[in-house]
Amino acid sequence: MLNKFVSTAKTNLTNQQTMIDTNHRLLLPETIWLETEDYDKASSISNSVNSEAQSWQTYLNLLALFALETWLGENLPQQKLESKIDVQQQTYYLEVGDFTVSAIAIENVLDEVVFVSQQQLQNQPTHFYVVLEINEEAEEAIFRGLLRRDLLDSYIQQSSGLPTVNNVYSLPLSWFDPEPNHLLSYCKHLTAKAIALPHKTEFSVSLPEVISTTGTKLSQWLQNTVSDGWLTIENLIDPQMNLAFSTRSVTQEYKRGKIIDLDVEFQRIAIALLVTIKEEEEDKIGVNVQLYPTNQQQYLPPKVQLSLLSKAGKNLQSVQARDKDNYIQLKPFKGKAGKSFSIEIALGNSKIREYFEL
Amino acid sequence: MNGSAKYWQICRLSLTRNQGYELKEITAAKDFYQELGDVEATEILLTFFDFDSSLAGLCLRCYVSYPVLKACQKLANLFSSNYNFNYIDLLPFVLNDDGKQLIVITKDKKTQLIIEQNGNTKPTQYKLFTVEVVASYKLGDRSTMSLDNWAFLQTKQHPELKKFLAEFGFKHLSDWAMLNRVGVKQLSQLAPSDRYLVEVFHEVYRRDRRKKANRMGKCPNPTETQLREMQTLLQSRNCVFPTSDSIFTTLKKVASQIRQYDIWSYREPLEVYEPDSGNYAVRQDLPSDNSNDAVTSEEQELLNFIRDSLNQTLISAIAQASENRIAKLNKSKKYRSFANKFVTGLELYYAQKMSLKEIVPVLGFNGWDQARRVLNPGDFLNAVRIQTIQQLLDIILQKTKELGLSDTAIDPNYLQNLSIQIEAFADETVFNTATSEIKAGKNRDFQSLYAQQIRLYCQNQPN
Repeated sequence: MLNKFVSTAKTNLTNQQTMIDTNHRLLLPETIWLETEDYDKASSISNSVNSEAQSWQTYLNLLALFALETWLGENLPQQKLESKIDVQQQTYYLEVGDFTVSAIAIENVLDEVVFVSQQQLQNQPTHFYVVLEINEEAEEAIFRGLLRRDLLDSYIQQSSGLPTVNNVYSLPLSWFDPEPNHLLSYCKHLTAKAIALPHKTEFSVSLPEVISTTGTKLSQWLQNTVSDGWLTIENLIDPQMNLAFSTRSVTQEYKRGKIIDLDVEFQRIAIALLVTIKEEEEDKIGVNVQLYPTNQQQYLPPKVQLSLLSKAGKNLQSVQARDKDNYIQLKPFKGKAGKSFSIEIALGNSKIREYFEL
Repeated sequence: MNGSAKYWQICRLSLTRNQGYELKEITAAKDFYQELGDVEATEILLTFFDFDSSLAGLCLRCYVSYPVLKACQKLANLFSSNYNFNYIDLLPFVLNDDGKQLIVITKDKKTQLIIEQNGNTKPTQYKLFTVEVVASYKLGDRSTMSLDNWAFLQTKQHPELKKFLAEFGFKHLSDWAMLNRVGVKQLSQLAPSDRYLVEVFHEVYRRDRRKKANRMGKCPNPTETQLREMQTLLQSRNCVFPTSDSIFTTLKKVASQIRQYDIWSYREPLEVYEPDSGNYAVRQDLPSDNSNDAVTSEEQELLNFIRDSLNQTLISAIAQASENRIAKLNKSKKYRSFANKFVTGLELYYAQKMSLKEIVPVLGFNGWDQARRVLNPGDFLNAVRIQTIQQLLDIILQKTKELGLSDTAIDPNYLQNLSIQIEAFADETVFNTATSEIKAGKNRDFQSLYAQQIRLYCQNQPN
């Protein structure tokens, strides 16, 4: 009988993304009381932040962290518990035994969206993210959800059109598991390595969208300013890279390139993304996007696809490499300064997206 | 609710049930549905309803009544509902269909018609919400959104319900706490002059709130000094307020505006554009809100294993949670004096059926807030539930380990699923009825297994 019980739990794994019917938590969410000491500590730490808007958020973040610390202390009395606070880096998390838990403070969940900055995800990846609604005036924190880092990463990778404003993700509240019990189950019965964390240094490999969504401001190129990661053609034609394209310089054009690494079946394939911009009439900027092979390859990998996506993630145009293409390019397009778009390069299961602003 | 029963059980108001609703089997709907067979039932029923089949409509009314109930529970939950209202207060707005009448709608979809015994039709006196939901679910929507989701959205947009939420949803928050929690998104929906005002309010009021020695509790009215500072800051933004009083009044006005639910529920769409259909669709990759339907019979059989353990676990969980609560009170400066009254409080609530308000003078609390903090039955129930489920999980994992059924390293997904199954079982057996009892309001009757065990526990404590 037990054998069956275990196997039933295992077969349910495929339904991992199916939301759980947590009727109980709809009716009685977990409430954690905030105490005077929490407010005092949060106040004194948040004073070191300069702008008031930031201080208030820091204040709330700290209240959330202390509430979570209290709750975990009560429910996991055997585990070693320590809070880690770095106000400058905006990282707030707890060490619970071998696990790390971030607290995300929000003031309401009525829009069913949780905001998380990419910075927070990159600087200090933790095993768990807990959303706490801070009711400052009523002196309480309400447990609103829990998300494991491995699931977060897989959701983000599946969700190419996730809304991002100023490098802050809007994560649907439905991604979060409303049952706080599960945090206890994980901390008690799992080993920390059961939940994969991205390595900070390898972040661009495991979560490429996060790094690149900062957006490249193309109009700055007209002032000869080049953003990080973009090289002028002179720099790009490093003998070692052996780029297989020629430079036909045209006046008033600014051409920049970037090497894109695609992970295809454990193999890294480097491709050069070339963006050429020039000033056009009526304050518009013309853009030409091309994809070239690198590493002495004569041809692009067949089926590699280059797409132009709107700000909302709508596919505006695509082109795919055939068997022996030396390069592919999108139909040139133009737009006014300030307009955003993104370019996606896809091969097999690997996708990389670069964000731009004109 | 499981399987096809959702097409013939209507979820309707109940004044006698603690939970505020009941599931009622509608025979006409059942007969009609069973003749249909159940392939793609919703689609077929919708088509029939479009062609004036009142019985197909009845099945659909049953079907949407359940997501409508769920929507009420979810809305109340999103509003931190334990304050001024709970989902039961929302039900009368939307669960007004008892499934007794046969209804069709006119071609323009605006008028609902009752079919009388003699086959004639006449307009209904009031509109049944279930019928409105079904009738407004247009062909174009059907490819992009399930009827369940549609019912949820329609419930959220119900005008009377929204009015209720505007009045009671934030009632526990003072105007100043309301303004404090305005974020970037809400600001963007305000008129520019109001936006400046709120920004300046944040600069001054939040700063002082954070820094003041007496920083907790109800947010007080802004002081004259604070208002003057805001006035100066506003001037530098070319916003002129003649007096500090006028700032105060305008702040109050803005505060009342932002109590509207729409301001807070607004969000960037999480949908994506589908070039094939030309529509925006809810992204397929996002986990949807579909609940895991009832446990299969096989799982049920397996769950029997823990059934035997449950009662004993519940008893020890109550004892453990109570000890923890008393220890916590003993550690708190504010509440230490109530530590030895905790068990008496539980007894007054569960055995004497006194409300927290009635307990206040008996145990010497200084008010309802204080009593709630110490005795909140919902908090205590949650604590017992956590203890129960964790103990059951321990038992199961220990057993599987002894029998060599599980690997030494446990997979997180497996653990989560196991926990969910245990919770579903424990909730069904113990905690669902215990929760409804608490939520029932006046004339509570504590019959549940949980309440019985609490009373036993209290009796066995030395006073």
